[in-house]
Order: sequence, then structure tokens, then C-alpha cells
Amino acid sequence: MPDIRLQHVSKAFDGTAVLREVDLDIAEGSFVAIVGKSGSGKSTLLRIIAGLEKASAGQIETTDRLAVAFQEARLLPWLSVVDNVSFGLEGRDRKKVALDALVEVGLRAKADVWPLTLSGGQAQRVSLARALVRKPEVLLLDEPFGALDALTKLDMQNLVGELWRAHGWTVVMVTHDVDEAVRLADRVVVLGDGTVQEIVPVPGTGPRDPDDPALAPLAGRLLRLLGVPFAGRRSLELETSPTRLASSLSPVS
Amino acid sequence: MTIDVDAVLVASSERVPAPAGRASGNLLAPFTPWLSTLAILLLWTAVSAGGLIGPRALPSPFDVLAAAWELTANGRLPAALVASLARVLAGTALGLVLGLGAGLLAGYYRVGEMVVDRPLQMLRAVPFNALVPLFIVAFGIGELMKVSLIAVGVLVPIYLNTFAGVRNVDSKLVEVGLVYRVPQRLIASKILFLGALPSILTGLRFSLAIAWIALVTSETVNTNAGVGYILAQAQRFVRTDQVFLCIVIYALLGILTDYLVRRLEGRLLAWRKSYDGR
Ligand SMILES: Nc1ncnc2c1ncn2[C@@H]1O[C@H](COP(=O)(O)OP(=O)(O)OP(=O)(O)O)[C@@H](O)[C@H]1O
Ligand SMILES: [Mg+2]
Repeated sequence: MPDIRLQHVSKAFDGTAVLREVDLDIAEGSFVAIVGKSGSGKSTLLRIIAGLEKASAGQIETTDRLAVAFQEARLLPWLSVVDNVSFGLEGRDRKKVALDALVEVGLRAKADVWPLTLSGGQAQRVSLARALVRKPEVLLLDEPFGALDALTKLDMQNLVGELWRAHGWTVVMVTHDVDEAVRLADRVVVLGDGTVQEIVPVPGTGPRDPDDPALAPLAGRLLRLLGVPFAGRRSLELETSPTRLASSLSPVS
Repeated sequence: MTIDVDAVLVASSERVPAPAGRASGNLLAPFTPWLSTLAILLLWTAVSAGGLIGPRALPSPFDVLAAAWELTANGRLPAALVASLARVLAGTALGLVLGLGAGLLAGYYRVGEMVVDRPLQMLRAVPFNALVPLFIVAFGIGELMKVSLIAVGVLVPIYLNTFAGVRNVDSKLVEVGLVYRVPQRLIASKILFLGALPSILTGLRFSLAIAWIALVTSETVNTNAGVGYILAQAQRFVRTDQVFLCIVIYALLGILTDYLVRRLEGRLLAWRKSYDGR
């Protein structure tokens, strides 16, 4: 019995189709990554699963007990960091739960500050902590590590990967980083032209060693599927930001 | 160890810390906003001392102080202040409760908006002193009329800003509450109300400014107590010094309430990181 099942799901905004007849089964306890170009409808798909957006057509089976970490951190600026993490939780130990989660994301020291004083990466980690403390059946992550430096990113990937293993959650993670996708996921869904282009299974269980030689060909294959022209290079991301572009154009030192 | 005077001064100001080097450090820094006021006072003293304009038309600041002393000594001023403050407090409290309630109702619920928004938008279009004759007919010429007039004046800005504040809360933040299945009351209090608070406090400032204006207006109608009464009497007996005194009192009360609201904003909106001017 899949945890989440999408059948012929379509979505159009003002007559423009964003998703077309998407079929997707996500098994309970699996880790699915969704990759696709910017604007390909990844966030929209996640929002439909979360029940925040109504599909224009098709059927969706999903669960109530889900938590989302949005693409933007979406912290409530008028609540302290720890109050953001524990927001809406019940129980007397809610503060302790939130503080523990902040320890996990390396931000215990920031528990009492205002969110507007956080850096982008810190805010993103707080938002991740807020999702993790919900102990959800399904965890939906929309580019959860986009604003993080390489080192913190690896840390956070390990954190999510290990929590996933330990708790048997179902995780759906949108990302534009194919290396990240093959590090963590069981299956990578390639989204293009508003529909599922291909589902690439990844052998083994995440979080995998980033140096694992089996990952490089998979990542390369994903990049080709996404139509990246010079997909020979590893660790090239789909959305080449100016700095990335510069570094990928400069000769290897 | 040296004490950082800058830090002390900045910390005591109610806003978010100013950029470094802004209140470049001397002990007079907190008084700089008052310099222009002081200049006006000096000019006033100079002009009245110059004798070009007689004390009938322009009493000197010392005449006004003397008038204050005289009216305090005979007990009229304290009694008037008590009467005026009681009026303004009652009217303001009533107006704030009604305006805030109506604003939240209209902000939270579409039905609420349909019920209260149109009438209040119409009320807003009416200058409230145009309501005086109506209120006299409805409530007589006693305290009820005065308090109601102040309440209506106060109600409009707080309503408008509460309503707009709730509706301007980023829907992305509301989505967080929805997707985490947070109880409705938490969405209402921790997302919508707190999100609307900056706007509500702006409304409060406008409301309190209007409260004093409404007080003066209401006290021009058949009053036998209050600052407005002293003003009316002073006008009748051409006591320009007392007229000035009343104006100064209204100004001071206005500044005082503004100061209190700013303090409140400093406390409640400490999370904000907004542009502070340069
Ligand atoms: N509420 C909306 N109204 C109108 N158009 C929308 C809305 N939400 C999304 N879209 C459009 O749908 C398309 C897909 O958007 P979506 O946010 O799902 O992309 P994405 O794959 O998440 O992109 P990115 O990687 O840049 O985050 C875009 O063209 C976007 O303009
Ligand atoms: Mg997106």
C-alpha cells in the first residue's frame, strides 16, 4: 500500500499547464527525490501532496500527518527561534523537544534570537528543525539545503538521512542538486515538461558516502536526462548560479 | 573597563539598535530631537519680549507659566485635568475595544467583513465633528455624548489598521499553520494577530491623536469641567495666557501618549528589522 499515490494529476495556473497527467506511487518508508529544472513544477507537485494546492484533475491519496519544510524558510518573525520550532506542538516537553532539534541542526545557541537576525542558511536549518520535530509520517522537503555551504549541507543531509532511517518516515525531497539526490534517495524522479520523465532507482540505502564511485555515473545520467549539455562534469548543478558558472568555466586548478 | 556610553544610550532608545556611529556619543544625544522645540520656545520668548506684539495677543512663556501656577493654586487646573482625562480614557477604551474587535472580525472572517466594513468605511468618510449635532440629539449634552464622540473618533483608525493588518499578513505564513494542522486559535493569535500588530499599533497612534481632538471638540459643547471648559472661559474673558496654557497642555498630552505608544512599539515589535532613516 503506497503512502502517497498520484494518479493522472494535472495542474494549470490560468490556463497554463504546469503538471500533466503525473502518475506517482511513493511507498511507505521510502525516500524519493524529485529533480527538474527551475519552473518545472516541483514545488507545485509538493504543494499538491501537502494539500495546499488543489489539482486541476486527477486523484491524490495522501496522509494527514505530514510536515513540510518550504523552499523559503517561512519562520514567523515575531516568535523566537525556539518558539518557531515548537510552534503548534502539544505537551509539556515541547520546548525541550524544540531545543533538542536545534542542537541537531547546530543552532542551539540561536534558540532565543529573532528569526530576522539569522543568515539564510541558519533560517533554513531552523525551518528543517521545525519540520523534524513534528515526527511526521511523511516529510516533504522543498530544496531544504539550497542555502547551505558544502560542509553544512553534508551535515544536514546526514541528519535527514539518519532520521529517515531511524524513524521509517516517508521522505519526498525536491532538489536541483543531482549529487544530493543520489546520495539520499531510493528513487529519483525526473520531472520535465510537466510530467514524470523517468524514475531512476539508486542502489543501496542513504545517506551514502559522497565519494561512492557508484554515484557518479548515476548523477551523470540524471544530468543528461535533464538535458544539461556538458554533463560530463560531476558536481555541476542544474541551476548554475553566477558563482557556480564562473567556477565551472574557470580552468581546474 | 570603560563604560560604553554609546551602547548605554542606544540601548535606552526604544527602537532597534541604530547603525553604529549614528548617535555619535555625547550625553546630549537623547535631547537632540527636542532642539527644534527649544528653538521655537526661544523664538517665542524673544518675540514676546521684543514687545512688537502685545501680551494680549502673544503672552510670553513666563505669562503662561504664571497662568499655570495660578490655576493650579486655585485647584481649577487639576480638577479640569482629571475631568478631561477621565473622558478621554473612557472614550478611548470604548473606541479601542470596539475598533479592534470589529477589525479582527472583519479581518478573520469574510462574513465579518461583509457585515462591518461598509458601514465603518462610510463612518470614516464623515468628519467626526459633523456627528456632534447628531450625538447631541441622540445622547444629550452630557458625558455620554462626549465619551461616545471620542469613542467614534478612536474607533475608525484602529479598525482600518487592524483590518488591513490582518489581511496583509503573508499567506505563506498562514500556510505554515495550515499544513502543520495547528489549531485555528493559534493561527488567529500567533500568526494573524501578531502579524497584524505593527499595523494595529500604527492605528493606535492615529486613534490616540484623534482622541485628543475629539476631546477638544466635545468639550466645546456645554461643558462645566475639563480643560476645554477652562479654554472656553479664557476665551470669553480674553485671558490669552490661559488660552495658550490650554493649547500647551493639549500638546503635552499628545506628545506623552505618542511617547507611550512608541515605548509599547519598542517592546512589542522588537523583532522588526526595518529601515530607520539615514
Ligand atoms: N500560484 C501560482 N500562480 C500562477 N502560477 C504559478 C503559481 N505557482 C506556480 N506557478 C507557476 O508554475 C510553474 C512551476 O512553478 P514551481 O514553483 O512548481 O517550480 P519549481 O519546479 O519549484 O521551480 P524552482 O526550482 O525554481 O523552485 C512556474 O512557471 C510558476 O510560474
Ligand atoms: Mg520550487
